[in-house]
Amino acid sequence: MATIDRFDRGDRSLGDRILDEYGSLQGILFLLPSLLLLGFIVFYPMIFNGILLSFRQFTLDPSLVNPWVGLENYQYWLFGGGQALFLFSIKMTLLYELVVIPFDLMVALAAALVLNETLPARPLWRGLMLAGYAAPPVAAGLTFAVMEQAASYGVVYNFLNMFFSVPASGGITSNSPWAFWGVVFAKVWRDFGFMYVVFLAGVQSIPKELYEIAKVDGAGPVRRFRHITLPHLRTIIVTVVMIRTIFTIGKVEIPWAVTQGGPVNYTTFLGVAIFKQGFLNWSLGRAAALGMMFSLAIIPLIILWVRTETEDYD
Amino acid sequence: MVEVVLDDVRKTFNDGQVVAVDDIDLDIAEGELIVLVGPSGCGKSTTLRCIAGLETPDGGTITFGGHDVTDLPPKDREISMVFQNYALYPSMTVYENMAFGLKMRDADSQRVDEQVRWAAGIMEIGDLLDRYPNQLSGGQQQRVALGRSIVRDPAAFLLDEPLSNLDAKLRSVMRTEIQELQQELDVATVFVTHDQEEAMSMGDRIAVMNAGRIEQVASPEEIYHDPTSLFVADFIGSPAINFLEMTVEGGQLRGEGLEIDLPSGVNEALSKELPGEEVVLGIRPEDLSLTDPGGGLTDLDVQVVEPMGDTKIVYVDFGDRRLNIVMPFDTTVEENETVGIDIAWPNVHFFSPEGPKVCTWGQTTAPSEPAGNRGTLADGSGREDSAAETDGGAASELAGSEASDDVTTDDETANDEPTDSGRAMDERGER
Repeated sequence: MATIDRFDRGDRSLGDRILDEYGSLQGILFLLPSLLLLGFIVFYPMIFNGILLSFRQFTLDPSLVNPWVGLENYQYWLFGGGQALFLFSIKMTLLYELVVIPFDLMVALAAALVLNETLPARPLWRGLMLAGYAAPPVAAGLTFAVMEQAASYGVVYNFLNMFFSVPASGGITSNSPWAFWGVVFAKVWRDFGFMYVVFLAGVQSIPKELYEIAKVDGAGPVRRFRHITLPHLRTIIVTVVMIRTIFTIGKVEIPWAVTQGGPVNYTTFLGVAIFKQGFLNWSLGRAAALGMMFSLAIIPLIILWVRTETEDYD
Repeated sequence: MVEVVLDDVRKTFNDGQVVAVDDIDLDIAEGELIVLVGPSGCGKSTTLRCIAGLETPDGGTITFGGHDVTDLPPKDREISMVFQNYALYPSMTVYENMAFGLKMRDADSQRVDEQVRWAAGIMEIGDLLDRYPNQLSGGQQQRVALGRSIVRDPAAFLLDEPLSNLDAKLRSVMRTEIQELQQELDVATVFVTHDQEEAMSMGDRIAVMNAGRIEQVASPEEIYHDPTSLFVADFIGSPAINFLEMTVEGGQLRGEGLEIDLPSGVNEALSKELPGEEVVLGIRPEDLSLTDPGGGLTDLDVQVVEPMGDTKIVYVDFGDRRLNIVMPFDTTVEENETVGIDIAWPNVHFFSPEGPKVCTWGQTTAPSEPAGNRGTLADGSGREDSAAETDGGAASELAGSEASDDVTTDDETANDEPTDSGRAMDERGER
């Protein structure tokens, strides 16, 4: 009897409930083609070129054998010759995240708020805000690298130099701590479009009556932002910050294009470290080991993200 | 508590291409509930938003208790507002929602608490104070929105279609509650709605708006029984008023095979005021009645009968017009039956085809004259739209010429005696 089944939920097994929630085995059959495809392009390389590779000494030279070395690659990073770079890289990556994400957030939110107002030629401005996101990261990074040199075309350098004294030799990109900021600017310019689009959609979905009643209630612009806009965007902000945090850690293009990880290792964030190890030092085993540790480290972040994604707005 | 006065208020959008509010005048007395009613796009909400300060008028002035507030921001007008979708702050509890306005005005927390609990008591939402808006039903949200609006002891109370999102039953309950609340607070109140029934049931006075203008401001009774224009007659009343286009020739009303003698006063008024010979008769559904075939003005076939419980609505085709007739519930009438139709002539309105009313058959007072003494709470200045004013002249002439009228009308203002309409009826009988 249907009505009895409905109230029986608590007694059913986990398997039953999964089937109930996600359909029957039929549903899984429907998923199978994409699962197989994903298996080939994601899981296979991850296991064979990732996990297995991290236990070998591996180079691309076909004349060399690639012996199994056990945990040696991990030991290299954790306790051996790579430890200093490993720790430094983690520190710089965290710093990078801590600066880039809030910076990105503020620029994107400001852009979304401004372009939600009535402006002349608003569609044009809205489109222009996405120019960065439409540009290839390497092109954007290289362009910033050029603009950050001490030269007449070094727009960013000349602007920063008005407030701080940045060494002329090597410009922003080859002097610490400026190189770090050089990467940050390029990264934020290239990437804020994503958050901007999401925020703009979020801001537009706020009923305008809320702002009107707040005006009647006597709330000024700051309080309207604080009490209406911000609470409304709360879940959106959490989500995009999670996504951006995860997707920024491993990204190589922009730091590499702007500074090549330099000066020395100053902007060698985790992704860059893996890239350098693999494709400059040709030590693919060690690169794979670092990559695996990095993957493990972001699993909690991903779980957190999935939970915020599936959580209902209360 | 203040009087709200709108003087020549004008609001346009798109660089003046769209005129939303077209030079309107309106007085809202202290403690009065005035309803702005009209079809969508008639400018009623824009008018309300001008009063609230959410829109700045392009011209004219708005004064609260004699103070010009035309250019003041909403917060400095000490008004409160309720929106159709309630506009409760979703991230705040009911208590915080209600306290918000006071906190923004830096009221001390003890006063905030007192006021919120007082308002919650009135709206009977004391046990909901810790809930969030999305945990409330529509009716509860509406109560919170109303409670929030009274917390600040506003100078004027502005309601923009507050009942439109509620189901029919709750709507009628809230209607009464809002009226009681408004009487208790004794605050000038503007209530916007597109629902004429809501307007009739709530307003001390009703302002019927059309295309940015106020067509008529009057008490509900007057709006219904003495509409000053085709638009008002058509918009107010359910089922809708019946219109018949006829011509006036030689003291007779002609059309659809009928010839009806006009009372001399009506005839004079019509011949003086009408641009041509065309006239539009407005007949309320309850002023039409069914008779035995041959016993009425003319015989027609019943098309549809709608039993409403307390009444029956009978639809008949008259020429190419469909007439609505409201009959008592116990009337026995079948679809496709042939019936006679009779008209309660004293209540028939005559409109110029261009819109303004010229006169009413049996009513000898001017349409706009009773504005001040028909039980309205208005200041008596009788602000009417221009259409009503132009009617005034003709109608007051009627008042003189019709003194010998001999028909007793249903209208409470009529004090007439039998008239030539009686003669006309007799002639109809012969036909």
